[in-house]
Amino acid sequence: MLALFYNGIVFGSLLFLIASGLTLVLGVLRIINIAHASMFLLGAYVAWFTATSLQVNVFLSIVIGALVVGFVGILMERGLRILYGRPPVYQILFTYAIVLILYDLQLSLFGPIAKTVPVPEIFSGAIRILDWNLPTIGFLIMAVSIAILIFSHYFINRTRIGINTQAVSFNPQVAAILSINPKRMFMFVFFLGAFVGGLGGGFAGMYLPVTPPLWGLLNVLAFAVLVVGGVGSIEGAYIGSIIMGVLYSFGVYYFASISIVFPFIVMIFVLAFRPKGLFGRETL
Amino acid sequence: MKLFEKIPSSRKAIAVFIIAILLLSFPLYIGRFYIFLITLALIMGIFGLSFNLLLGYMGKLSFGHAAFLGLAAFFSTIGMTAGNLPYCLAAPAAIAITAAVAAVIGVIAVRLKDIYFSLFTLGIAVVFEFLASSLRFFGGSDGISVPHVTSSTNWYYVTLVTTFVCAYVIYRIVRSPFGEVIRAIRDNVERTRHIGINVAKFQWINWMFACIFAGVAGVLMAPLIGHVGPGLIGVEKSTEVIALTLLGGIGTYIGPIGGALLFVFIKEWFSSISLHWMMILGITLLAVVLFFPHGIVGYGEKIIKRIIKHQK
Repeated sequence: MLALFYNGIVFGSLLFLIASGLTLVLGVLRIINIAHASMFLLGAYVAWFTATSLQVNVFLSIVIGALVVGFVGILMERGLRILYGRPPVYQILFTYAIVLILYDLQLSLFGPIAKTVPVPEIFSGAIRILDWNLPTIGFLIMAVSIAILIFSHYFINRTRIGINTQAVSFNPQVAAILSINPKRMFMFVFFLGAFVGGLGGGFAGMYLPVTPPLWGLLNVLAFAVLVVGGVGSIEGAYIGSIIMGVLYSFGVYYFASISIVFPFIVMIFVLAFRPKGLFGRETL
Repeated sequence: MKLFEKIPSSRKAIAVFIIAILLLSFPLYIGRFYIFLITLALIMGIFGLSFNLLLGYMGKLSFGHAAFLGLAAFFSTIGMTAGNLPYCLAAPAAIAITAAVAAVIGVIAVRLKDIYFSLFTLGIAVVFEFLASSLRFFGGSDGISVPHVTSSTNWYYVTLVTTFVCAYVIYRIVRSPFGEVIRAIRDNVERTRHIGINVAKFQWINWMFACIFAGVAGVLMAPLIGHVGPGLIGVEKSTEVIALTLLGGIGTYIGPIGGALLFVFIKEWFSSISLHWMMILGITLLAVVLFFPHGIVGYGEKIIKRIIKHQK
């Protein structure tokens, strides 16, 4: 039981690593970035590549991966700028086109075989609690996701830039009058969202072997997390992630062949009865 | 389509006659492989038309439309193999089952706003693909072979006739008062609700039409490709229909059929020269979304209009 809980919380933390960047972009820019899970995987792949082929320190290579993904995010924002006035369908389609490109890129550059980011010595062991051996790497993932949670909370509510982003999200025109440049803010937020996604991908790659087709599952789970937690609320996203992770972990253990259905049923129920999400303040 | 109505009806009749003769006589002078491709394009055309009911006329982007194509394909095959039914019984039964599944899913789906609708349908696609590849009932990841139904030439004619019937029915739907309401909802939900229209009900009916025609495409697809597998039901096929509808032109009536023809042939051609089909598809989508949002049919209409203006 404890092991199942542990797995669930680790998997939930991992989902939060995806969902945090996603909710940032979704909450501020009102754009669903379907490509976010692909960017997450890209972060893991770049980290894997620099750590194994170029022999760079693992943590440094994770940061490099995150920077690369952040750069991809800036490029995407450039393209999305053309679509800002149009119906949301076009923006979704745009990010979907990015998914296809990233998918093919990852498949042809890194191949279909699953890759794992090398785990540093300190985290490769296991911690013994009661009668269970719990891998240390899981605790690292939890720590990273909590760090991202605290950082995001602090950033959005306490820093000048964070408050400016809230203003832009609330009303771009008024924000522009108050000498906040909405375009620059959008670009910055997109960069930050992608950067956090890439960072999360790098850490997640230590725990979860990555393959390009993982995109669909991760994407659906990450969005399910946002739906359950409530869009635009980083704390909600965290709680949603943990709920989903634990549910998924138990689902895999007890009903292996239909495990994916579990988080999804929760999502359907939340959508049907509480479209704002459990902790959400607004609907999109 | 307004342009189409301006053309005098005698000329229209001649055009339709010529196209009909051309289509009917294809098997006489075209190789079997191209007949296969054209049949596939026609089926994808029906699929695209049904998808456009959602995307073009209701303004909702579904990532799981292939779920209904796949379900119908699977159930028609299962009806023939496990149920020992003849095809002409298995196919309507499969469409009925698909419609029943769609009815339940639709109740939730149509109530969701655009972003949530897309996510929900993406979830449907992922779940169905997962179930199809893990449950033995659907043949697992190997899929099921479809029993032989009839020759490819006969199948071409069956598909051709069905395509015309479907296209006509969808045309009537789109042009009817019902179609007007659907478009009114797309353009302004609040206003439509306030003039006393049950938005969810109308959208549900439209969703049902879309899913049933996807089912028709599915039962035609199974005997053509001879093998149904998880690839037919999931995200990949849903992507294809998004791509071809976009290529043809969102919201133009005939767009998806033109898009399907173009799409099937481009895919065939690119797959034979390069492995990076997804990349090419992605770049094409990107270019269409950014620079040609009205697709080939939309731009074709624009160009023709400009020429007509010049002549006047």
